[in-house]
Amino acid sequence: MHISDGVLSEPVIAAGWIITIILIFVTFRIRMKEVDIVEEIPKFSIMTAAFFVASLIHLPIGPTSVHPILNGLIGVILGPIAYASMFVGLILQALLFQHGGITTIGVNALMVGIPAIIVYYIFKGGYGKGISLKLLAVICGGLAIAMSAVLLVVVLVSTGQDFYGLAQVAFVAHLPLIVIEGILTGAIVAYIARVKPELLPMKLKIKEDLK
Amino acid sequence: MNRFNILCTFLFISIFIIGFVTPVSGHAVYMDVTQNVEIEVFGYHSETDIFSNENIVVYAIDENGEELLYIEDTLDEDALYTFTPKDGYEEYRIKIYDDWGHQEEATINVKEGGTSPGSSQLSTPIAVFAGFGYLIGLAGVGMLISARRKNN
Repeated sequence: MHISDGVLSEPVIAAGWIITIILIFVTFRIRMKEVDIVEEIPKFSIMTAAFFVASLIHLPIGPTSVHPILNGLIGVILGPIAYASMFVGLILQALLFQHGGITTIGVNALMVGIPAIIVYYIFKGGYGKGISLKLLAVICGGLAIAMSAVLLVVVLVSTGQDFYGLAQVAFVAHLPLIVIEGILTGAIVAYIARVKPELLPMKLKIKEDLK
Repeated sequence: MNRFNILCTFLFISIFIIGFVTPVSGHAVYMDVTQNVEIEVFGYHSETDIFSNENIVVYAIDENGEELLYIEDTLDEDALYTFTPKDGYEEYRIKIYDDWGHQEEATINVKEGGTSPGSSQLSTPIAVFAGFGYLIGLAGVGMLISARRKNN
């Protein structure tokens, strides 16, 4: 899910940066109204660190390879500022690991950040409607990857017809990751619910969730 | 130590250990260029994941700095490619890339000779250390502001 420099057209790169800058500003404003943002910074750093090193785990799938992204988990834990967290993580990955490009950080952030924000609201809303916390976490973990894969296809296709084949391969390669991240997110959220429920975006009301 | 502290410690140790795993190919591409009589190019992601059968383009650069497309080919099974310098051209820009957009470039001057690593890369553990350093610093700033607020 890291697009390198020199792949995308200039309008797509520019659009990625504009959307990313706007979303970082807007999501911070939204979160500042909900919580004291300074208190969130340590949590923000831990989740960014997890995102930062997740790309080092190499899962070979067919002719290509994928790596965990954790955007569903980060979205559930951090809420809207997950976008900024992954933006910071992508900058560190690009500068320190040469993963992805510098010019494409905006587009790469968009592909992982927008699904993270969406799954946060799904998680919060779903829990309010009484859906099981663990089931929601599994769905959110998998759904975030699925949405990111769709966005990757949209970005590649919008760059040119030459990328149709690559977009299809990229989408298929991420299908196993949907299952892996769903299970991973479900397990981590269930554990957090037991040992540190304050990390989750809402107060747990069902006693079963705390067991 | 309560369960949350154990969880945090475990998390930090786990994500830190990832940095020491050998097959960390991810996306970064590296290139070593070696010159004897011929110029040899080797492309790789990591020690265990090489850039086999991927594309290579070589541009010959003249004295005025103008580039001429010299070679357009693919690396072999061992991710190697060897070519002979073109008469009258001392400098070459070499680019390797795949269809996913992973790419690396290096420039070599045959007159100066020697070996040119394509990119100045930090080893993965050091890069992980560096990244964690920035993030721990960020967390520290947050905790410092928070502590000052509580004192006031």
